[in-house]
Parts: sequence; structure tokens; C-alpha cells
Amino acid sequence: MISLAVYWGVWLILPVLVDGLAALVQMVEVLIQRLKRRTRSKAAASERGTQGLARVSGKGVSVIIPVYNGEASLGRCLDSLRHQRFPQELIEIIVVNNGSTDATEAVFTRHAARPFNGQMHWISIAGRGKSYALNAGLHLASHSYICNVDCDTVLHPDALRIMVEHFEANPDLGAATGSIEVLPAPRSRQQEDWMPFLIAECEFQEYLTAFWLGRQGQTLTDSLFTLAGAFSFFRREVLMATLLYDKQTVSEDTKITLDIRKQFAQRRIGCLPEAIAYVTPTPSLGALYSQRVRWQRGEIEVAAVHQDMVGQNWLQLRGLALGRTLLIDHTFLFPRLVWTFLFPALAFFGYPPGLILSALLIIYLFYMFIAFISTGVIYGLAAPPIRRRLRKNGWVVALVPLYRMMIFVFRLAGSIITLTEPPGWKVRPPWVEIQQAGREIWQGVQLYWKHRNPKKGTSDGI
Amino acid sequence: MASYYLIFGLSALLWLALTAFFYWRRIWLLYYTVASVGLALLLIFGGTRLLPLERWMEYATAFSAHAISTGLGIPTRVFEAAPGNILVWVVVQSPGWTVVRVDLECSGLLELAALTGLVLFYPAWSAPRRAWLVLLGWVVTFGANIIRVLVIILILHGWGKQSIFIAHTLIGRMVFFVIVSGIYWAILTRGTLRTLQKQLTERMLS
Repeated sequence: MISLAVYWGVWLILPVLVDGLAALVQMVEVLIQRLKRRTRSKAAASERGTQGLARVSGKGVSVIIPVYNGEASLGRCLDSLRHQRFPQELIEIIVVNNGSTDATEAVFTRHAARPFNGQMHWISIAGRGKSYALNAGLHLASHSYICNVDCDTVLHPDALRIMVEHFEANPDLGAATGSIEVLPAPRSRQQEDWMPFLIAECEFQEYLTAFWLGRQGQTLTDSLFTLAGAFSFFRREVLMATLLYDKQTVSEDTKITLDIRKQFAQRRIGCLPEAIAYVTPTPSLGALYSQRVRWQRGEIEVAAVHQDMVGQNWLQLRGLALGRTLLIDHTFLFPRLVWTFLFPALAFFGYPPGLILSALLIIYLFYMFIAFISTGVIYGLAAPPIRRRLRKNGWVVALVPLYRMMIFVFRLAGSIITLTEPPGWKVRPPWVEIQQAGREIWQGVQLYWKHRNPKKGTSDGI
Repeated sequence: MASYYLIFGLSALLWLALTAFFYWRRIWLLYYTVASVGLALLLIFGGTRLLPLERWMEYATAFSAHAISTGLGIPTRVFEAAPGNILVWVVVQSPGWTVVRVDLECSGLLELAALTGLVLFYPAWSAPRRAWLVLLGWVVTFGANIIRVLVIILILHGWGKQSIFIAHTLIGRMVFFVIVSGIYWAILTRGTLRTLQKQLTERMLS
């Protein structure tokens, strides 16, 4: 039975191996990157005085925060900027109101009155979208560095300092992303039900892997594909030399990353996982679905716009291989979809169910093993608070394969919806659509019944 | 046999109803999943239980692989009584014949059914274009399957019958996986990018 399971399991494990190999390559890349950085940081530390490179160079940061109905989150974001361990006089905060209808402006006014040696600006545009908001902020920005931050993001006190020091030490670095860390689910929601907790912890591990392994590995091979919209950092002259943000695609952060790559072949784009930004977890499965559909749509749309890059670097280790990225993120979705159902269905075509179950179990364990090793590597690299949380909720690793499966389904939905529906910020998940359809059909049946039996309908109404 | 027809008929009706419902309600994830996977399953069921499609595919694969391998100088024979079986001349260690059985997996029927469902219901193009792409996909997938069988024959011919596990389970599948991934990439991903580029340009101009 075991040999049979291996015989068939190998067939299914082939695509799994793609993921396994990718994870292995990323881990090796990160370890090399780590060694390199340790050597460099020792040299930099001896050069740097207590004032830090930022104060020495005198270069400041313009932080652009596009906001739409952010009264609940903007205050925390501004607080985190006021508490940066970076000279306040070198910080310029530009909040761009994108047509908010709540008390966002009042929140800003309250915070603007608090002690702060930097500058704070508020501008309003008439709800024309995030891209317009970012561009409006860019035109006001006056410092050498531009930092884009989402209003529901909280920066670590050292985030700006780490970014500026790294940019000063690496003149070829054109743009960078910090790492995004998902906060635990709010306690009130955890008590209501366990789903927000599970989503938060799975997202936490997913983001750790994506930034500490994925994007850091991509930094080493100069193949980073997306600067995180929640916290990205640019040299002003690099960003201003592009055509700026546009609304052609739903993923302005990926689009600008590829625009920079195209325009500045000699500039690197990297990830600095030590520069941390905290985000709240996605509140529900529906919101997660909507987010992942949007991300998938953005990726395919940006690739469609930059089709000339799709054929580049297919067989090279260095540089962005957009075609390879699409192969994993788009092409493999389709055979995976069919085989997910076809493999269990083989039981109806004479294959022993025990064999099929064994092969499925092997695959699940394989994915769990990848997740376990990745988390182990991150545990070795990360700061004590992350380690504590990983220790406390480490058992979530066992659920990561299921979570990945769910994300695969959401990505597939994104690939189809991209072709069938116009772009929108929020997409209703299929389970809500089915509920809605059920309600409408039931109402239709009731109407038909009332029409067929008017007397009964009238007396009921009375 | 009659019960197979009944099962097939009822399944096909259910599949049609669900596909139409999800299409009507524009629930695209479920529409595409039910339509493509359902059709693949129906094709496999029909091809193995109602029609001798599996056997035809096995014959076609065995005879094609035999013709090409003979042309390449690797002596093979096809069993007259059971054409799904190929005899391969093994020269290493103890010269003799090894039988290679072309089964459901090596017939390529599963992959052809999967490709048909995935491309026929992919909402990027018009129905005639999708039908044409399915036909093209069949030809290329059948070719990929022949290459897979030829690779197995080549390894058996060179390294003997003890290499059957490596030849079939590892290398043969790996080769097939790579070619089929290329087919999906060319049809679905590359095709999607071209279609989307047009849509995005139109959206920008409007």
C-alpha cells in the first residue's frame, strides 16, 4: 500500500515539489543575505556615530498617508510617526483625504495640535482613488525620501531610521519595502468566535514567510516583485522619474515596482525585514476573499500591462522573472483545480480509496513540513516578541496547508473574476452570493404562491 | 451497462443545471469549478465506462510510440492481441524484452479531459476560439504523452528493466508535467495577458 501511495503520490507531489524547492531556495538565499548583512552592519556600526546617518546627511522623509474613512485607525498611525526614533524635524507627514465621510479630519486636527517638531499637512481630493491620493501627496512632498504608509498601519519606532540608514549606506537602492507584521486579532472578536483568531495567526505566519523569506530572498537575487502598499520607501528622484501612480490596474504598488524596474535597471529594489510595520488582521473570511481576489487581479493586470517583461530572465537566477512568477501564481492554479477533484474521484474508477487517502495525507504532511521548516528558520532570525508569539501559537503550522489551499481557491476566483467583472475594491464571496440567490429564489417562490392563491395571500396580509 | 448510462445521464443533467445556475447568478468561482471539473469527470466516466475511448487512446499511444521509436532505431513491438502493451528491446545486462503497459494514466485521457474542461469554460474568449484552443490542446497534449512514453522506452532500452520506477514514475512524469505546464502557460496564462491588455487599454481610453 505504501509503495502504491508513493507511486501515485509522486505524481501529485510534482507540483508540490515546485513549492518545496521554492521554499528551500528562499531559505538558502536568506541565510546568505543574513551573513552578508551581518558583515556589513558591523562595518557600518563602527562608522556611525550616536546621531545616526540620517542626522549626519540631513536628509528627511515625507510620509504620505492616503486615507478614506480612517477615523478609527488614523490616530494610531500618526502616533507611531510622532514616536519614531528619528529626528522629528526631518519628518513631514502628508495626510491625503480621499473623500472621507466620517470624522477623519477631526482626528487629524486633534493630532496636529499635539507636540511635534516636524510638519503635518492635510489635503483633500474628491474621492478619486488611492492612486490620485498618492500622486497628490507626492506633489506636496519636499524631502529626499518618500514613504508611503496606509492609514491602518502602525510603524515600529525604528522603522524610518532603519530605512534611511540603509538607503544612505546603499546608494544603488532605489526603493524598498519594510516587512509587514500582522497583529493578533482583537480580544473582543476572539471571544465572539475562533475564526478571527485563526485568520490572524495564519496571516501572521504567511506574512512572516512572505517578508522574512520570500521578499528577502528576492532582494538577494534582485527579483522583488511588489513593494508592500502598506509601507514602502523610495528615493524621491526615482519615484518622480516614473509616470507616477495610475488607475490602469487595481494594484498600484506592483505597477510602480515594475515601472521602477523598467526605468532604472541599475537601481536595486529590496526588502528590509527589520523595518517593521504592523497591520490589523483581516477581520473575516469574506474580507480575506475580497483582498486576495483584488491581489490576484492586480498581479495579472500588471503583468498584462508589462508584457514585454514576461519573457525576461526565465532561466536566470538574478533579476525578476515575471514569466516564472506567473507560472506559479496563475498557470498552476488550473491543473491544481482539476486534480484536486480528479484525484479523489479516481476511487470511482477502480483505484483503492486507501491508496488515494494515503497519497493525500503524504501531500498534506509535505506541505506541513515546508511550513514547519520555514517557521523554524524565521524563528531563528526574528526578534523575541515574534518568537514568543510563534511559541504560543506554533500549532497553527499544522493548519497552514489548509490555509494555503483556501488562498489557492481565492486566487483562482480572482483569476476568473478579472476576466468577467469590472474592477472593484470589494468583491462578495461565493457563499454570500449563494445566500443572496437563495433568498431571491425563495422570495420569487413566495410571490408566485401568493399570485396563485390570491385569497390566502390577502387574508395572510390582513 | 444500463446503470452506467443512467448514472451518466443524471450526472450530466445535474452538472448542466448547476453550471447554468452559477452562470446565471454570476458566481464565477463555482461556475468555473463545476463546469470545468464536472466536464472532465463526465468525459473520463464516459470514456472509460460507456465508450472504448480509453482503449482507443491506449492503442493510438502505443502505435505512435512504436512507430517513432522504431524510426529512432530502438526496436519495439506492439502486442497484436492487446495493442496497449508495447514490447521494448532491452540491451543492458541481460538482453531481452520488457513489456510496457499503456494504462489509463499513460493513455493521456485524464489530461485531455482536464484540459478540455479548463479551456472550454475559461471565460476569456468567444466559444469558437475556445473550441479551437481545445482542439489545439488535444493535439499538443497527445504529442506530450507520446514524448513521455518515448522517454520511458529510451531509458528502459538503455538501462534495463530495473530502471522502470525511475523511467516511469519519476522522469516520465516529470517530462510530461513540464510539457503540460508549458501548454497551460501558453493557452491560459499567455492568452489571458493578451486579452487583458486589450481590456485595460480600452478601459484607459474610455
